[in-house]
Amino acid sequence: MMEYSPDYSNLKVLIADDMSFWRTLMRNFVDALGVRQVRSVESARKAWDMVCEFQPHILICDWQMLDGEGIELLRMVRHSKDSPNRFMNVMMVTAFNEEHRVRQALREGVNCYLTKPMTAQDFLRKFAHCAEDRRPFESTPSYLGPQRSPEIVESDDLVFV
Amino acid sequence: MSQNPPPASKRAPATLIKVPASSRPPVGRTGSVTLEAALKRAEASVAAIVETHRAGLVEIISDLGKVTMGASDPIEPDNAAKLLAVANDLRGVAVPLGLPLVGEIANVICDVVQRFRVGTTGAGPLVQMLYHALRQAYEAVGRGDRLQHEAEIRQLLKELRAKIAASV
Repeated sequence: MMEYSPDYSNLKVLIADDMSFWRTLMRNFVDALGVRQVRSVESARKAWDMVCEFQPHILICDWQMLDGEGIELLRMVRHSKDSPNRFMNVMMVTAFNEEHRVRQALREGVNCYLTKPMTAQDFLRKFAHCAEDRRPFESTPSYLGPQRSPEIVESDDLVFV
Repeated sequence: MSQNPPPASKRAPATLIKVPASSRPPVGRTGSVTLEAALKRAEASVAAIVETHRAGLVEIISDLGKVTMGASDPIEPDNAAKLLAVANDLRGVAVPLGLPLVGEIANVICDVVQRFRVGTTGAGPLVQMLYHALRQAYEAVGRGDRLQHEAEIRQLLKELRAKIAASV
């Protein structure tokens, strides 16, 4: 348990999930952390519009939504010329727990990956980690995202190069 | 796709970019909410919304019922995809709602559908049995006699898992 008192009151958080249950649940979680500006949307298209308009500091997105995928949203945040902040902290919260998905999200530059089902504790710990992720960004011809450990780069090469 | 990665010295060099402070989440260090306090508050908020979301859970279970009742044997690919999607939703929702047994049943449903989706027979009846277990589990929770039913359902899940294992 961290001993300092983090102040999340100035954060802007966007939640994109097609299930209203999850939107409400995660909203309650971030509210409980003292975040004052939270928006939530149920589709990938609306999420992108809201990314541009609301310009959140943290994007929490589901992988599979009604009209598109969270992974595509992440790709747009990192690479689109219209992205308001390519360094945005992105947390993927999804029921997909297969290794290849986690690797794919890492390759696209996600900051954190959390699988459902989850407890409040799981979420809060990951959220704190995501909010306070201060890694520099790494840029290669095929990657833009938080700096990866050599082990991750190496193991990714073995499978995907 | 090659399985042999280029040596580290031949890979494109990575450029490190210092992220401007204005692009970072503005997290202070003197807030009044400790992570521990926030955690407790968030957990309480979960308990508070459980009731609100019971209706949502019933709806998901009912959706599952519609799909399972129409489950052919072997399960058709379209049906399998629907079944998997609903069972996944259910699995995701059950644990935060404090219904781990429902989550476990949903897990077994996912297993059944994934293992049998190639078109072998035997999945339809299994899925229907699971749906009955699910209803029983959910109703038992509603009646507050969870333990008695939990034992029966766990036994059923054990048998089903054995069948799934034997079928592969």
